[in-house]
Amino acid sequence: MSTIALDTPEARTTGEHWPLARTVARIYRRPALVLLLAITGISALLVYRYHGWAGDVALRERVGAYSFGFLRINSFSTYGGRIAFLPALFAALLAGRATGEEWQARLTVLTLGQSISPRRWFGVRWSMLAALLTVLVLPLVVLYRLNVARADHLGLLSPGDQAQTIILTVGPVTLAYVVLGVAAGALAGTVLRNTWSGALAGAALTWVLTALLVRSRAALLLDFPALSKVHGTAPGGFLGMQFYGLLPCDSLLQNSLSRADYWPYQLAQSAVTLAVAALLALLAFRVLRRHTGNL
Amino acid sequence: MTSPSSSPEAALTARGLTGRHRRRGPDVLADATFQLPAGVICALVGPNGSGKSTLLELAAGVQRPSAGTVEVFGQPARTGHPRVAYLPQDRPLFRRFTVAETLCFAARANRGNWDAGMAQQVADISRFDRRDQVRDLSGGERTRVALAVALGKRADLLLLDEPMADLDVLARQELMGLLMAHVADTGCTVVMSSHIIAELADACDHLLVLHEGRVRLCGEIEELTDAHAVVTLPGGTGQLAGHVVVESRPAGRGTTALIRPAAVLPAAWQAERPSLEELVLAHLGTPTAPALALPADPRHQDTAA
Repeated sequence: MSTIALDTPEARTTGEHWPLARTVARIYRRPALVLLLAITGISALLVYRYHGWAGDVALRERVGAYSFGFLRINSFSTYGGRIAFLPALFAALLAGRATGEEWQARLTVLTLGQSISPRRWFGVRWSMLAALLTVLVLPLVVLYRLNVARADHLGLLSPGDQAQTIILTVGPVTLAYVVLGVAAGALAGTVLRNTWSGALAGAALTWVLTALLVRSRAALLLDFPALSKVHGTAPGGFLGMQFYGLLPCDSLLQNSLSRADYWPYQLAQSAVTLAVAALLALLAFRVLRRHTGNL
Repeated sequence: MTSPSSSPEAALTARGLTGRHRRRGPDVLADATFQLPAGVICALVGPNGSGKSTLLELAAGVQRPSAGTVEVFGQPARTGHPRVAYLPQDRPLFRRFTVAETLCFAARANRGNWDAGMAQQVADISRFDRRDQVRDLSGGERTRVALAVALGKRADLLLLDEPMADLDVLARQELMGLLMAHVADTGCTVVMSSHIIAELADACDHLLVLHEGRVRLCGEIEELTDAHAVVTLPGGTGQLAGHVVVESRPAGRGTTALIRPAAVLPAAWQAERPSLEELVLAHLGTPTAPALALPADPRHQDTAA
């Protein structure tokens, strides 16, 4: 039996500026490994797709632009929708589950019984989770954008709904949605203090908020000065919302934008999303204060 | 029962303290008013469901009172208090952490306020394999680790909910010895719940008895036992009029009773000082007997941390 040589902070405090972050990183080690495996698999598919675009030029010559769009561009657009929103839903599930479980399993009695304030402990927990998921999702965003640039360079993205969606949907706003998911999960887990209802409510809240954001950005950003002149957007779907395979779909505003609007559009939309996330985090801390009596 | 005045030397002060498990549920602890001076070792005694764990959770700030107040060293109880350590009855720990990781977490969460040597001694770290996770430990081993987390924090008030439960006889003896040595070294205040009164009698100098959520007895053990007498007298209970009778029962041709004497007892009566166990059992067995809360002994305030 190999016995323990205790590795306490007293033994090595030098340079350890984020002591709680190390403990929180340990808590998230398993879900992070599972997520890393999943993202490695999706990244491999995107790398494979990247190398496939060159061969698709000949395919489009053979079958024509309409059939090519149906064969390739539609499926690539679906990838984009999933990359844009599924990480946010996963982030909400994970944050809601982790927060709800900590209350349900009474681990808060252990954690909040130490010499740390609830705000500091949960602040570190939630911000570490947001940072971890953002770092893990970043390669997907980069690889997807590389694919878009490659396909666009080869002239495979002809104007139309799908091409605009592909070009404009994924980017910094995808990472902002992940932060929004963590904030929604944190709020749901803190309010419900139950593992599974916290997880499910967090994901549901994220889905509703992303759908509302996707719909409302047509109105919010319509006359945004940094964007090109936008002409009337088409209403459609339930209350003007659009969905594709239950994920919020975005073509109302994007149809009217050009490639040059990518960064202003992404940054403006990210700012709106992060503002909503900050509001949710603020609410979560208020609920936490009500539960514990102090922050 | 008189309301205790707020004193900076009081470790724990409760005024009309009421607690519930659920917002609309019944009161588990009702209108509890008492004061524990700093430096005492207090036995918290009561049957199951009497409100012991609720009282400790309220004092640790884990629960919020539905009415009344609870103060720790003169300030409202709250979570994350650097001067309070709490060992809950269910010993919540991160299940996938190893023992070393658990102690490391506690050290990080109590930076500048952590006694690593004490924690390692209580956990008996050499008995564990480095890969042993908390979920693999026995109940007694979990108790050791949880107690190590509580005692490692250099707290001035230790709230221990059945700290020796799940431990074998040897471990009980060893850990109670460590706890007493720790208290002697630091002068900290301890509130310790248990069902084993004999165990508490050796270790504690203060007593707080709860029954059905209400305080039945509170004070220094010596003074509480001095305030009572077990009397054996010929005849019936009619002669006890004028004294507070906590419990009485026939004994042969006479009566044996535990009373709170209001005057000098007749010489014909055989009177003895009750043991702690007799005192507690009599009060728990007779819920209608008047409660007694003695004022805090100022001697303890000199030893306050």
